[in-house]
Amino acid sequence: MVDNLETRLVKLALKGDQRAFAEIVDLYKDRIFHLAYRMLSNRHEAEDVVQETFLRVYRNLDRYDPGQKFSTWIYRIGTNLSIDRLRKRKPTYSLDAEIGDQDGADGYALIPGDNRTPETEYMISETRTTIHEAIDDLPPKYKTVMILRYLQELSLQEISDVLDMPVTTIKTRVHRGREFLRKKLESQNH
Amino acid sequence: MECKQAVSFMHDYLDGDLPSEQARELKSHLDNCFECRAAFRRLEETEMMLFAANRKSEAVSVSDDMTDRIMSFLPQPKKHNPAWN
Repeated sequence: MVDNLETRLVKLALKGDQRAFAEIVDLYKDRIFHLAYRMLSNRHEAEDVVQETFLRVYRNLDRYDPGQKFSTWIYRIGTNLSIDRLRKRKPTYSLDAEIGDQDGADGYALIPGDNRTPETEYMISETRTTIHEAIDDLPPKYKTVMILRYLQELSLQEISDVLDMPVTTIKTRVHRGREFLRKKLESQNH
Repeated sequence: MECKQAVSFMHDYLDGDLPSEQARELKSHLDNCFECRAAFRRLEETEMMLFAANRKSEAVSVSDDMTDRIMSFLPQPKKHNPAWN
């Protein structure tokens, strides 16, 4: 069987090849950062989670099971570390959010560049902000699932692997999360 | 079909796993139910917005020196593990 890139890098890293591990870090640092940042709404904490995730990965490399997708393994570590931090907070996390981080964000995927007017740009950035705020307001168990689904674009099955929960549970949470977001968007438009 | 059932089918449809038989049932319900048709359109929009708002082009990104920082934190290289050969 041909090893995939991650499995090969893990093997090399286990033999003491530091560059191979740096390669793993490069492959995943952005994804783990965005996951943690969306969970925690705080850049500093998100970077802490990234560092802690890779430290754990490094310490437990010899326990990585090549039969499992590497991404599932590292997402599980990053997700659990983010949830731990969320749980330690008082339930006012949306207030901790860094102000202004949504400025300059480009959520333009819906509208081709040439058709953008100041109005549509405004509408898109408003919607984006509403969605991020609404996701922030979700209880952690919904928040995690929605972030993995829509930010990381994992499949329902992958989310079930990462969180080690039945896929039916994941579906229920996506459905409820989606309804919650729909209501938020409707109230914004009225 | 009851509206409650239709809503549950809508979500399965958006998840990409509504069997074609049920998809036909849903469609015929939507053809006859204005409320559900409107709800379905809003759900589809929400789904699209969710993916669009969270596109990978995030405004914030991890610090440029993150890889170096992590590499400097690591404990000494692990000993070669024979189980991997």
